Amino acid sequence: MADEVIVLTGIKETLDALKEFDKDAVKRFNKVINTELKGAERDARNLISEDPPMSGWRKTDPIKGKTRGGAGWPGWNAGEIKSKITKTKAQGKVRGDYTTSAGALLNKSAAGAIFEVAGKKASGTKAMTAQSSSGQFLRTIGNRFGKASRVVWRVVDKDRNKIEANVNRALEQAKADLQKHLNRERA
Amino acid sequence: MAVGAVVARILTQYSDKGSKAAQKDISKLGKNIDGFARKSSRAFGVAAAASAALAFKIGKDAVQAAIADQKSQVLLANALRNTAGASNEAISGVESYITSLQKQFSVVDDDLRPAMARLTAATGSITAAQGLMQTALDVSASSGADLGTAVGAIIKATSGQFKALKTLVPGLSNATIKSKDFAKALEEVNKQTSGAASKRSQTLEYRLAGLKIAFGEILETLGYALLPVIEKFATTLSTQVLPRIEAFIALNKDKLAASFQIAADAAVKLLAVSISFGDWVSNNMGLVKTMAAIIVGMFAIGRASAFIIMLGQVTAAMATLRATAAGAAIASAFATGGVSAAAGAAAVAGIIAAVGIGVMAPSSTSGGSGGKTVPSTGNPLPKINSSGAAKGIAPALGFPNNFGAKPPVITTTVDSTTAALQKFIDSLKVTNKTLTKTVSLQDKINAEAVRQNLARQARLSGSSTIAIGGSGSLAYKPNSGVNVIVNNAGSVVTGEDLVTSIVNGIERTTRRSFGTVGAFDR
Repeated sequence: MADEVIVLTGIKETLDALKEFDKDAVKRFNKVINTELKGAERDARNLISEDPPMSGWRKTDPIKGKTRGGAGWPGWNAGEIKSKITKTKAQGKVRGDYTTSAGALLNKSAAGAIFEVAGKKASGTKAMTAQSSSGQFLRTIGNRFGKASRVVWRVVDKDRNKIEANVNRALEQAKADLQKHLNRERA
Repeated sequence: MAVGAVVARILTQYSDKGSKAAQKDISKLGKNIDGFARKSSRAFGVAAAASAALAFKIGKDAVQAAIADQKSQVLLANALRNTAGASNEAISGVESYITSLQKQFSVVDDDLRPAMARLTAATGSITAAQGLMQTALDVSASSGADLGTAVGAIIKATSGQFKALKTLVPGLSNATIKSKDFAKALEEVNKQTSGAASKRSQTLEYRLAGLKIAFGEILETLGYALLPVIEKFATTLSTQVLPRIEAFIALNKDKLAASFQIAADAAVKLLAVSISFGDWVSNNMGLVKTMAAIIVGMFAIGRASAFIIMLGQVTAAMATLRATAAGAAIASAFATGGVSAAAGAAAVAGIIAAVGIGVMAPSSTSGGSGGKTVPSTGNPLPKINSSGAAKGIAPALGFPNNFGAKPPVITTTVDSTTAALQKFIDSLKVTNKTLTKTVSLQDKINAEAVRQNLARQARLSGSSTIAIGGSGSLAYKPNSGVNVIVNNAGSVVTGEDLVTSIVNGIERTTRRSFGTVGAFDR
C-alpha cells in the first residue's frame, strides 16, 4: 500500500462548471478516469487465478451441516471473485481528513478479501511462525503470492502513479477548457 | 461504497463538504456568539447604565449626606464650645455618644445633635445634657412625640415650666408640678418612661429605621471620602475656570451685548416681515388664486407643449413672485394658444402693480418677431394695495424695500421668456407651412394642438380676432406668422374671470390633446 496519497483538488468544481459550457469535455475527462480504472480493474482480475491459491481451498462454499471443518471458510470461486473486483467512483463519507475517493478498486468477495489481506496484520508476529494451520496458511500464501495486498492494492500500488498522472493531466485539461470558456464568456 | 470490501483508493480528491459543514457550524456558532454578545452587551449596557446611574445616585447622596453630616457636626461642636466650654476631646466624646445612641435607639444623628446642643445650652453641662438626652429619648418613645418636642418639654421643665412635659407624660403628678422640683419631676418621668426608647428600637419600624440609618452612615462615610475630590474640583473651578470666564466677559462684554442686540433686532424684523407677508396674502387672495391657476395650467399644457424646456426655465424663475408673474403671463399665452395672453399680461400688470416693481411694468415690452404690448396703466385686479402690500412682500421675498430699483433677475427672466416666445412663434410658422419631414413628431403634435386651439378660439369669437373681456385682442394670421397684440386698456377682467377663462381653456385643450378630462381640479 502506498504511503503517499496525492489528493486531487477541484475535480467536482471543475466538472460542475465545465458541464455548463462543454459537456463533451466532461465526458472526455470521465472517460480518462473510467479507462484508467477499467485498466486497473482488469489488471486486478488478472491476478485471480482459476485455481485456488492452495490445494485445500475448496472451490465451493461450505454447505451448512454437511461440510466438515472450515465451516464458514469461503470457497474459491474465481468467477465470483473476479466479478466482485470492481471499479468505483462513488464518494465515501467525508471524514476528518476531508478527502474522498474519486476512483477506487473494490475487492468485495470474501475469498478475494482473504487472499488480498491474509497475513497483513500477522506479518512479523508469532502468528506467522506458529505451527498451527493458520500459521501454515499465512506462510504458504505469503511464500506463493507475496506479502499482503495481493490483488487490488497490488494493482493500485503498481499503477497509481500512472493513473494519477493521466487523471491529473485530464483534470488540467478540463480546467484549461473551463478557463477558456470562462474567458470567452467574459469577453 | 461497499461495506466490508477491500477498498483500494486510486484517486483521492479533496472534499470541502466537511469543511463547509465545519464552516457552517463555525459561522452558526459565531452568529450565536454574536447574538449572545449583542444581547449580553445590551443587558450589560443596561446594567452598566443602571450601575452608573446608581453609582452617580449613590455618589451624589453620599456627598450630600456627608455635607449635611459635616454641617450638623460643626453646629453641635460650636454649640458645645460656646455653652459648655467643651474641648475637642469632649466634643469627640459627644460625637461617639451620639453615634452610640443612634445605633442603640435607631434615631438619626441629625436629630440627636440639635437635641444635644439644646440640652447642653440649657444645662451648661455635657454630662447633664447626656443624662437628659436619655430621658428625652424615653419621653419621645413613650409619648410618640418627636425628639425635639421632648427635649423642648424637658428644657422648659428645667426652668419650672412643666406643662409641656405633663402633656407628654400624663402620669407626672400635679404635686410634683406644683413643687416645681425638676429633680423630682425628672425622677418621676424616668420612672414612668424608662426603657421606652429601647423597646421602641426593637419594633420592626425602628429596626428598619436602624437599617436606613446604617446605610446613611455608609453613605456618609463614602461621602467623606468623596468630599476631597469635590473640594478640589470646586477649588479648580473657583481659582482657574471662573477667573478666565470673568476675564473673557470683561474683554468681550461690548461685543456680546452687540451680538445679543443684533439677534434681537433680527428676530423682531423677521416677525414683522412674517406678519406683513401674511397680511399681503390674505388681502390678495384673488391674485394668489389666479397665479395658482396659471401655474397649474402651465404644467398641464406643458405636457403637450414643445416648450417644456421653457417651462423649466419659467418654473425656475418662479422662485420669486415677480419672476412667476412675468413667466406666468407668457407661458399662459403659450398654453392657451393666446387666449390667456391678455389675462396673463393683465395678471402680470396687476402683480407688478401690487408688488410695486416698477421695472416689471414697462409701458411696453417687445420680444420676438411679433412682439407684445403690455400697458402699465390700469389695474384689472381688485383687492390690490399697490403700496402697503408691496412694502410687506418685497422684503419677505428677499428683495430690498427700494421698489424703484431693478433686480437683475427680472431682466434674465424676461430675456428667457422672450426667447421662448420667439421659439413658439417659429414653431407656428412651421405649422403654417405644412409640417416638413424635419419637424419631429412631438413638434407636429404640439403645433397641431396649438393650431386647433387657436382655430377653436376663433370660432368661438366669430372671427379670427379673439377678444378677451371685450377689450383684449389677439390676431392670428395664418399666412404671415403670428402677430400677438394685447391691449387690455379699459379691461374689466376680474381675477375670477381670469381663473375661469384660463381653466376652461386649459381643460378643453387638454381634453382635445389627450382625451382626458379634468387635467386639474379647479
